[in-house]
Order: sequence, then C-alpha cells, then structure tokens
Amino acid sequence: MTILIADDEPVSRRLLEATLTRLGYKVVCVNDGVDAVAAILRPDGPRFAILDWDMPGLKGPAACREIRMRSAAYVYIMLLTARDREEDLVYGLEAEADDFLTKPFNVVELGARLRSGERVLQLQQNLLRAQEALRHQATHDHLTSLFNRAMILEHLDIELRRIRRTGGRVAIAIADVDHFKKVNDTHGHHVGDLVLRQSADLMRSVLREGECLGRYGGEEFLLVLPGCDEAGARLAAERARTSISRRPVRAKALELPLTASFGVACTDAAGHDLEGLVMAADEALYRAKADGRDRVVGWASDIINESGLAGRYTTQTWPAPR
Amino acid sequence: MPTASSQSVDPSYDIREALSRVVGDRALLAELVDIVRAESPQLFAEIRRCVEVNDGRGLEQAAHRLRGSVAVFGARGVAQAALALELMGRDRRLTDAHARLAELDRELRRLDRDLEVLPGPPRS
Repeated sequence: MTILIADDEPVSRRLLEATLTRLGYKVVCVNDGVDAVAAILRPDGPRFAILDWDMPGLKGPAACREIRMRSAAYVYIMLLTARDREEDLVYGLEAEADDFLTKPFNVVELGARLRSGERVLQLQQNLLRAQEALRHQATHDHLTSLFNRAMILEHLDIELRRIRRTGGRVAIAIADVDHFKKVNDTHGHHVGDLVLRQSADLMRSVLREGECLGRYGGEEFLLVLPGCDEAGARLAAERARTSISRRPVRAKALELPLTASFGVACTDAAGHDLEGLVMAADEALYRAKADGRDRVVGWASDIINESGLAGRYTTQTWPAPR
Repeated sequence: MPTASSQSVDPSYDIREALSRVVGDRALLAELVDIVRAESPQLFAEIRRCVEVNDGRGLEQAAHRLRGSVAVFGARGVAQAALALELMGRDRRLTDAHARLAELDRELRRLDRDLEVLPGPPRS
C-alpha cells in the first residue's frame, strides 16, 4: 500500500518516511496541502494519507475537506499534529479526518493505527465489490452474462430518447434459437443451457462498436443497433445468424446443428415507440420462423398490412445451402 | 554516540527517547541531527524577527515548527522555550517574548553543542 505524507517540517517528514518504509509501505512525500490534494486526486493516487496540521498553502484540515469533496474513492486520512487541545481534535474530526497522530509519534502506536486504517480501507473495498456484484446481478443474465431483459430494454429506451432529441435512427433485431424446446426436451437442460451460452457468445463476438446485446427472455435475444437503417440492421443480424449457424453445439459425443431466426425493425424519431418497435421486430421474427427458420426478416414501416401494423416485410436473407 | 550514562547531568536531549523514535537506527538518527542542526538557526532567526516586529501569528507558526522539529530528540529545554513563545504568539501577547527568546537561544546553543558531538553509526 502507498501512503502519502504531507509535512513541511523536514525532521518529522523524514522520520515518518523512514518509519513507514521500514513497516513495509510505499511512501510518497509532499511539502504542502495543495500538493497533497493533487497527489491524491491523480488516477491511482494513494488511498491513505498522513497530513500535517500546520502546513503552508493548505493546512491539514482544509486539505482533508478538499479531498473529501473531490475524491471519488475513499481516502483514509490521518492528521498529524502537535496540537492536543480538545477543540483542535473536534475541529479535525469535523474536517472528516479518520484519525489523529500526535507528534512526536510512538512507532508501535503508529503501526497499530496504520493497520486499523488499512482495515477500514479493506472493508470499504469489500463493500464496493459487493455493491458492484449486486449491480451486475441486477442488470445481467446469470446464464449468458449478457444484459438482462430490463437492462437491454432500458438501453433501447435511452437510444429512442436520444434519436428524438438529436435525430437519426435506431434498429433492433430479435433473435430466437430454432427448435430450442426440442433440444431441451431431447437432450436436457444442460445442453439447452449450452446452446444459449454458445448463441450468446457467438452473437457477442460479432457485435460492432455501439451495438448492444441482451437476453430478452427464454431463448430470445435482443440486439440494439444505434444509427442503423433497416437494411444495415439486416446485415448486422445476418452476421449474428451466420456466426451461430457455422458452429454446431458439441457436448461430449453429441453434435447438434445450431441455428437462429431473426426479426429486424428500425425506426426514426417520428416512427415507433419502444413497444411498437419490438412488436414490429416480433412480427418479422414470426415470419422468419414461418418461412423455415435460420433466416433474417426485416420489417419496413411504410405501409399498413392486414394485421394493422404499419409496415411490410422486406427482403429475407436465406440460409446458405447445407 | 554518547550512551545515556555518558550524557551530562542536565542533558539538552534524551538519547533514549531519540533512539526509541528511530527504533535504534543510528544512521537515521544522524540524518535527523543534520536536518535539525541545519534548520534550527533559520527557525530561530524567523522567531526573533517575529518578536521584533510583533508578529504574533508568525511567531506562533515558527515556534510551533521548531518545537515539532526538536520533539524527536526529547529536547525538553528547547521545546519548553519554544512552546512558551508559541503560546505568546497565539495569544498575541509578546510583552515577555524577549526574555523567552534569550532562553530559547541558550537552549538551542546547548542542544547544538550536544548534537554536534553525537557520532554517527559505526563504520564498517
């Protein structure tokens, strides 16, 4: 661990530096509060600081307040002082210092206080890690590690709001693994899970900058394609389709051909809302399934068809002959 | 380096305390002696200037810094004289400051003499 020492008094600073080095810490030394704040705020700056109370420029408590205001990461701050008045102690604590070290310090006591500070930082790290794990759990699909349904829909919603503000287009593709129920029923959930994971990995591998993939439900996936028109979206879906169909699923002695069908739809600021866009892609997916699976069908929103959806099916991408 | 028993009856610093601060590291102690001997005359000059121009705030800061600087050595005479001046500065009452200044001067000279003869670590 690296510890920052901010002290303008050279004897105290050198003694502290030598003591911390002997205790196994890396040490960064500065002479005043302004440099201390700058060192802490650097990317990968120290997370443990010992600030002398009386320094030129910015005194210890003021530097402490500045760090609390500006540092995103928690920094454990120990104020170093020859002051021992009660009002000084209260003032330092109100500046949000974590601990005090009185000059001249006792080496054994210093070691114990450093370990105590390290424990606090470790607890804070653990808390952040747990928070991040919970956030990931709440936004990602456990099986495929893709965004979950809520998250991919939120992402789509953000894109739709963006095009309403700034113009442009957004397209989506809904992918559905072909004959998934049969795979599950015949070979069991273990193989079913393998099929979903492999489909997710293959589609993820062909994503381009800005494109986003989530598990929409069961064996369905949703691709969000910002800036794509309907034809561009069909090409993106085609990349995903061929990536899946080129590689069969292998489980022990088993080798299963794997394919997926895709329904594509696109909108601009004046077009579909989220629900309408998903409905249009679903409609195209339904047609892809009905027409024989392992293909991409687009939905263009310029005419009204019998079902009441404004649009028509566009060129279908046929599977390569096997 | 003098041992505790070789120090004078009224030592200007506490060798045991100094050695405990550096956990017996005599090379580090010698380094700190060099720093404090170089720094003290400047701090004393600053303290004297503050007394002469009646600068309470400056006096408080300079005396506080000197006190912190010699604390490692357990130099009580210097520390007490510096604390008295620091408190005068804090209270902005410098009426008796000259007497304390003379006392600080004496204590600093005594400390400097004692530290001067403090030998460094054994040479290998």
